Amino acid sequence: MSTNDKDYDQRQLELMQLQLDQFEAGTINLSHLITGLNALLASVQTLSKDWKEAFKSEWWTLEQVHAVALDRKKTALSSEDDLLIKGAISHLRTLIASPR
Amino acid sequence: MGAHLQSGMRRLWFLAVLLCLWPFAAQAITRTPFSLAPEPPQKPPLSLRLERGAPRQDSPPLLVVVRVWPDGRIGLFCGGDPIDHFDSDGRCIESGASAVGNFYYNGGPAGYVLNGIGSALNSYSGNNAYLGGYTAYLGTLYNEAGAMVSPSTYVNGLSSFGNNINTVYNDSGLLPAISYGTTSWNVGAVWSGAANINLATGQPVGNGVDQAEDILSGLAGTAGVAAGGVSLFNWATAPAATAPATATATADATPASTPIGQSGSPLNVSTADGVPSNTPSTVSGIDYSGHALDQMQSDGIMPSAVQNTINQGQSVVGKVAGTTVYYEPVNNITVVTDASSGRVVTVSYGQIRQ
Repeated sequence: MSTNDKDYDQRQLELMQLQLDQFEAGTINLSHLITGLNALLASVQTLSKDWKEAFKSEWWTLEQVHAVALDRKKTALSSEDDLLIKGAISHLRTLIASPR
Repeated sequence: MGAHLQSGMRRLWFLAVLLCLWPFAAQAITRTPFSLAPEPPQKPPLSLRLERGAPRQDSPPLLVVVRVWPDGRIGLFCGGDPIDHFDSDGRCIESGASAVGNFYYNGGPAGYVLNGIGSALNSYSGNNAYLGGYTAYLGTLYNEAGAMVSPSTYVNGLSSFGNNINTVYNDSGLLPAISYGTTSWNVGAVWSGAANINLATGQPVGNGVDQAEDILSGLAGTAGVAAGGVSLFNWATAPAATAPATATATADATPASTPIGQSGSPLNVSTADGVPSNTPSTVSGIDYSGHALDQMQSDGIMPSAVQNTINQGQSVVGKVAGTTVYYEPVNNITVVTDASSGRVVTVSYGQIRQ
């Protein structure tokens, strides 16, 4: 595990953070966020399996809300959906803040 | 006459000073604000030139050369030493990271180097055996560009080179079969690099994505698909010479040429605004939403694996009302079904912790 690998992962974590910020600022949509987080998670190299599984679990909450909304042709997310998304984002921010 | 001469000399002197300072200016504008790493020791800036033919013995240590052989091969050299991802003696490139990235880490004028390399590669638009390698360069450069603070300063050269590759792939269809696996992997690199630029800047870089898709469409129309299949891998994984065995089993209505991703290196197949690219379909008696099919294609998950997850996996009530979540630990696959439509609405790797 080289310093460059850690630097690289740090950049991916910062990009994850940026994605969450952009989503909450309304500059990217949920689909963009889900795709971006999944791509960034796939690219990290030094983080533990536990961390990645925890991250993926929170990602899955976002993905589940999005997939159901698409299939049900929802034009707006429900308050229950909002709660799920906010909870997942909060957990994701905690994970990003404490990589291991 | 004397005044004219003096004025001309002053201009020349000004130009010389400007040229000397430019690498340092380029270095300053390309340094990312995100890095928390300690600043690397400063080294003299690299310079770049294009050479043709055999390597010269007198290359200065910090001159980066894009060397083009008469048969179309392209190589990168630093101080006469080939850069083959890792630099052997550390003069230009520290071990452990990609070459272009280390230009940056070593204080090199990354934008200048990248743009120069892109432009050099762009001069080759003919059909030859090294297109796969050129696409690899493109993907690497895009990825490195994504890590920079001002990628737009050098993406143009890469874009035009990528467009030339597209033209060649789509027009000739003569890519050697042995290059298919590597090439499709490199297309993934182009895509992921473009995505990285988008993530870093928030700006659309549709051209990079379009290039990847165009290259794929060119590949899909060639004999290599029938010979070995086209498999799309992300840049984070090792390139494969042929498609994985599972790719040939892509079931039912999905054409064999359809690109798929794999675990840990997903390929995004939905459209830019998130609308599924597939339409709802029934495969082996299971109804799928368009998004679920996109996800399966993206992650390289076969319908048989979904069926196995539903039949053999653990089921729990989903977080969204009306959904059921199935998880099969051997393949680490989760499937979500929606009772209101009776469809599988999404599929991917990993587990939802309740």
